[in-house]
Amino acid sequence: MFLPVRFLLLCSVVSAPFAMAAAGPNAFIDQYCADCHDADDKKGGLDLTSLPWDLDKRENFDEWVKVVDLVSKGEMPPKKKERPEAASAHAFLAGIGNELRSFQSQREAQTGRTVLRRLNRVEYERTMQDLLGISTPLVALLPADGSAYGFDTVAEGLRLSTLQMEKYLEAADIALDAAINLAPEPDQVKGHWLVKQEGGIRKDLDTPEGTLTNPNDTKSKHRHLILELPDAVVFFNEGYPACQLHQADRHPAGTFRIRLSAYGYQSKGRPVPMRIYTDNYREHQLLGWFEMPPDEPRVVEFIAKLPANEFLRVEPSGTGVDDKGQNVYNIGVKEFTGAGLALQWVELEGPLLEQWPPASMQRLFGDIPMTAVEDPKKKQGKQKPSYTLAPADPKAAARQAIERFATRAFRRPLEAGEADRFVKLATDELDASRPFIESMRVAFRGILTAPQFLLFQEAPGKLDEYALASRLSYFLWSSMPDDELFSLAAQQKLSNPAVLHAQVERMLNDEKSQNFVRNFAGQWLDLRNIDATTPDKRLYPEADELLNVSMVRETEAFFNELLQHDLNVSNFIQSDFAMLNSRLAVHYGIEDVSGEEFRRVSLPPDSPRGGVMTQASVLKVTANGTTTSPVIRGAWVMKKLLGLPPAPPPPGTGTIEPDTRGATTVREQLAKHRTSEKCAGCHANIDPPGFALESFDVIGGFRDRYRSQGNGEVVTVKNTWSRRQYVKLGLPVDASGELPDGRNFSNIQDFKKLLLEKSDLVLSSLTNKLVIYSTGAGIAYCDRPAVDAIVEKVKKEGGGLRTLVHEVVESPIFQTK
Amino acid sequence: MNIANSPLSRRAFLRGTGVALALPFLDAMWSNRLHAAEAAPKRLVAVCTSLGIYGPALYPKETGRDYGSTPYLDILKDHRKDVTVFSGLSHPDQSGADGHSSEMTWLTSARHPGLGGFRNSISVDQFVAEKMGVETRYPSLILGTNNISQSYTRSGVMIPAETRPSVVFAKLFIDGTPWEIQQQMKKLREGRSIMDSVGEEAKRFGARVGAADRDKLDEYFTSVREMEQRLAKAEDWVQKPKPKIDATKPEDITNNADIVGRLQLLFELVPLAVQTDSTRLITILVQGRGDVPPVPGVTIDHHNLSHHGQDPEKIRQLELIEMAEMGAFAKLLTALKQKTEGGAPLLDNTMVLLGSNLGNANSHDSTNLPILLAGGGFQHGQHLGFDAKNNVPLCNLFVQMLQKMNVETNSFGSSSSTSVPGLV
Repeated sequence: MFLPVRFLLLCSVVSAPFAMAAAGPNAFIDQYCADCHDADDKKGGLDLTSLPWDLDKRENFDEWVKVVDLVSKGEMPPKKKERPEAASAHAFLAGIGNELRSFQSQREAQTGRTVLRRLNRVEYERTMQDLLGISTPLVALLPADGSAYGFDTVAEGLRLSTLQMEKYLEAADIALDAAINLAPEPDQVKGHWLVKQEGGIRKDLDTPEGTLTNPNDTKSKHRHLILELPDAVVFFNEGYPACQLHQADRHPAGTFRIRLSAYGYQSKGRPVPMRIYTDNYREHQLLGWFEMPPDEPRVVEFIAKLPANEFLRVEPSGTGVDDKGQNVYNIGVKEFTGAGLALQWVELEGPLLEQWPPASMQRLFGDIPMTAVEDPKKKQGKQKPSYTLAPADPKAAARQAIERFATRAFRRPLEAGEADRFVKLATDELDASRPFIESMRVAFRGILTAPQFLLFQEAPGKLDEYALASRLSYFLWSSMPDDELFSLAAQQKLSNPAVLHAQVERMLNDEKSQNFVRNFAGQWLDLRNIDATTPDKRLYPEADELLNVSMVRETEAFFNELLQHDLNVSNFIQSDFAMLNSRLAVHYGIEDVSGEEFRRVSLPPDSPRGGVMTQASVLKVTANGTTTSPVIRGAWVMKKLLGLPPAPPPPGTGTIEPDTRGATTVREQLAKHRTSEKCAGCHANIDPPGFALESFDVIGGFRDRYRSQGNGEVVTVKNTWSRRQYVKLGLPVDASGELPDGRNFSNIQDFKKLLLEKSDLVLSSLTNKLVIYSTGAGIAYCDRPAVDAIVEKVKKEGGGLRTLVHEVVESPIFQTK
Repeated sequence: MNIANSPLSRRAFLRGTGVALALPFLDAMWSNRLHAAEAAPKRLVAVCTSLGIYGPALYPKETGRDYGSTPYLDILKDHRKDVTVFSGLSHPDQSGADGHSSEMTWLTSARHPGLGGFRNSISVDQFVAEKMGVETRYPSLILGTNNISQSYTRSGVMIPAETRPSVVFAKLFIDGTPWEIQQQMKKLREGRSIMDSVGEEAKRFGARVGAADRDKLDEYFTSVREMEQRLAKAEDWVQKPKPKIDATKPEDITNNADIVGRLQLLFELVPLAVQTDSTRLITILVQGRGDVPPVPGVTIDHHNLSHHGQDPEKIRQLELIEMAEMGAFAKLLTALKQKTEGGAPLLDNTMVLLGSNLGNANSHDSTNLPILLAGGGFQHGQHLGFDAKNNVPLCNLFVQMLQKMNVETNSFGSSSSTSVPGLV
């Protein structure tokens, strides 16, 4: 058979054309592959006899990588065909593998492994906030970033376009508006208000029952739906009538301390959850929730950012009906025996300011003195002064401030004259007689849209100290380096292994590491999709706001627990603990967990929970609001946990028209799915995890029967706070399955035990993902040994997540472009 | 304590705004144009519903002019002479990262959306905008029921869709105060100085990076330069007063699940935007969702319904949603026929494309796409059916539409010809 493929044992020149070498690879292909993969049969669309050796072209390189991978896994040649002996397969793989590796590593040495990348929008927001000392949200202003290899930190997915520039200019404006504030110091609000003196509530209580609210409408009789006690007012319903605190609604935007006292009323010894919102009638935002103890008042205190002049709204959760299913609408408040929330008082203090004018002024203008300006029209001493910035030598002051700001914004010392263009932006304005601050704004906006700010600056080879500081801080904090990192970089000490190790420790212990947890886990586990679907209200009446909020927090807290305590990554498959608050504990049917804070809870040995697959957030993002799909969940497990994403259907297979008439359970539907031989190959791997997870519904509740919209037995929902929520239960769940190697499992617990055998895959999958996330580039063929080396080291040191992070940072692949 | 971002509160549905227009201004404008011997401008409106359109309820068995009735086409019966129904059109090689990736390429035809290394290409509306966008205040209007759009820049970046009709209305018709305009001018001028400076910085930056990085840096540099040009154009427009119309600003629908309500409001903006020549290119992506739209009789979530598995109840509910969408489309065509310019209905010079990136949502099949074309001066009234196993490239229709808009081109995307057989 004619083989136009040519191979050459590689010399030092990468791009030279190849001449025929000794037998080697061509003979191997001829003997073991050409039967199916030649010009006539072209099985799978591949003709190996004429596949060129053109590694410069990425598609061609990837094609050869695929050949090597399939042969080395033993998937090719297929079992039915003649298999090569170990020695000849090894020689073939070594030959081609070496060529591929050398080609790529030479390339990487010249140009670097990673490509120039920009800050993504989350990093942009955090950087702007840290740089300017503001807390304005900016993410929503920027277009969504693309992602590659699963993460939005990868250069390939981060494009630049006119749209981006337009938004960067806008965002810089908005950020500067927040940062530049020379107005008088906002008046402090500090007060203590009793709920029973709230105007609307007082009127409600004082109007006798039966009074016509509309004199012309005999049906508009006033009813008391809230109850006045000597020390509180009790609210029984979620929603109307909610407690709206307008006594405390005159305040500027800012950070406030809020305190509130309340307790559960008639709650039969159980706590009553309380939600607190900031509201302006059009939009509202949940500030937090707390469990209020039965009968004994609890004072809760928290700090929150409030928009200007919004009122607080407080509501109970899980209340509304008594044991007979009646509501306060049906019987009066005095006769009502159901639980309610007794609210006593609220305190508001703020805006909490460290200094005035705010620190952001110093971030921008450095030491330029700000002078207070008394308004001559106002009475002396009664009004607070505003401020002004009027340096004696504006141009010199401009240069000084701009150079200082640019140094921080560009995350490294400036080159000679690097600030000149930006200074000119300001001085041109000054020359046109514009005020000092207006002129400086133009320069600042220039700096904030400059390539040195928006792009990572990395030269091929080992990263310099400042580039290392940036890569490190964006990895663990999603933001710019802080003073300590800059200082170490300046002293050329950061790359010292002991110093680097200590810095990673410091950074993981810092609150800012939660950005890493949120952004990495949010993408790795698809948590960002938590609101992609809404659970059907009739099938899942227990799906409430607090469950949604708690679900995501659970998974973040779990990841963080492994990170802070260096727990083995096999815990992602199965763990003997879970991170729970009371809402989730009720949802999962786990007893004796009270309070809104997350804490580590030991799971009983036979619990189906544990690990990440059985967490409500994961179970929700792998389902739609009505039904679950074993295929979607199975594919998720393979892709996310094992790092073995199932292949897409081969081209030309055509699509199958699903016909689910006559099939009743999803298992039967999939049985019809799998009778096709073409599909069974992949689905024998994909479906089993999905079947095991059928024990969990679309919001992650455990089920042994499916909830039904049609026929079924009506029952009350047990695993929730609210009383008397009804659902219909239908067919039983069958969570058993069979692995491709023939072993069976009967439930999720068994399945997880079997999956634990693959913990190594979790470690290598996670290592790959952390390298991709932190360096902003995919894992090329020649990078694999470097990644494997990290995996080996971590395995020897106990396989913990924190160790893994350390080893990634300390690896050459992290410290090189 | 648990702090969270809560979704916006749900609001009541919009009461129909019943926008009434009186346009003496426009007629005067047109008579000026006619005196200048200018033809009315051509426009393109492209609407995509991302969960397919159920074929059996749409397609008649017959092709040609005498096609029979179907539930969806009956809704359009007043517009039969103004609409052409196509079957057997699609973009080749659309299998991608998942069953819905072809949402990204309906107007671009780029192959294998979302698979490794995928880069989208320019969408047909932006292709026109590059050439003619400067003639109107807004080169294009990109709308959607979510922030996702079907419009992509030349570098394959998706332009976010505006979902709020109130914002679009303000953009098109509400003038700033003189002070606001002055501020805008200042900002535009500043923006140009800034773009000029950072463009120079990019050159300097380029000297420091390796060859492989220079491509990426080029993206930055091109973006900056184009932004400068945009700002210059905007400076011209900002001083011109916006067109006056007698209409009230619409109220946005905050219920994310109400895609039919939202698409209706967006459709109401189309005739307003087109007749005031605020733009000549409008794209609307009606993105199907995983929740239940508030259409009477519908109890199952939309995405689930599109995967009906031949279940008759699911098909029935799916049809209820799609008939509501068809109804809104019929109203749009009515509005475009009622309004005139220079004596002819707006529809004559406005091409309205309605279709989906999925030919069969049940099986995620992106061949045999449902496509309807109205207006633009074509001779409509037919069902043009092509080979279901060997589809005609949808881009052939796009090229024909581009040429109708006087765009000089013989190809676009995966086109193989400059027209579709049977369409004149």
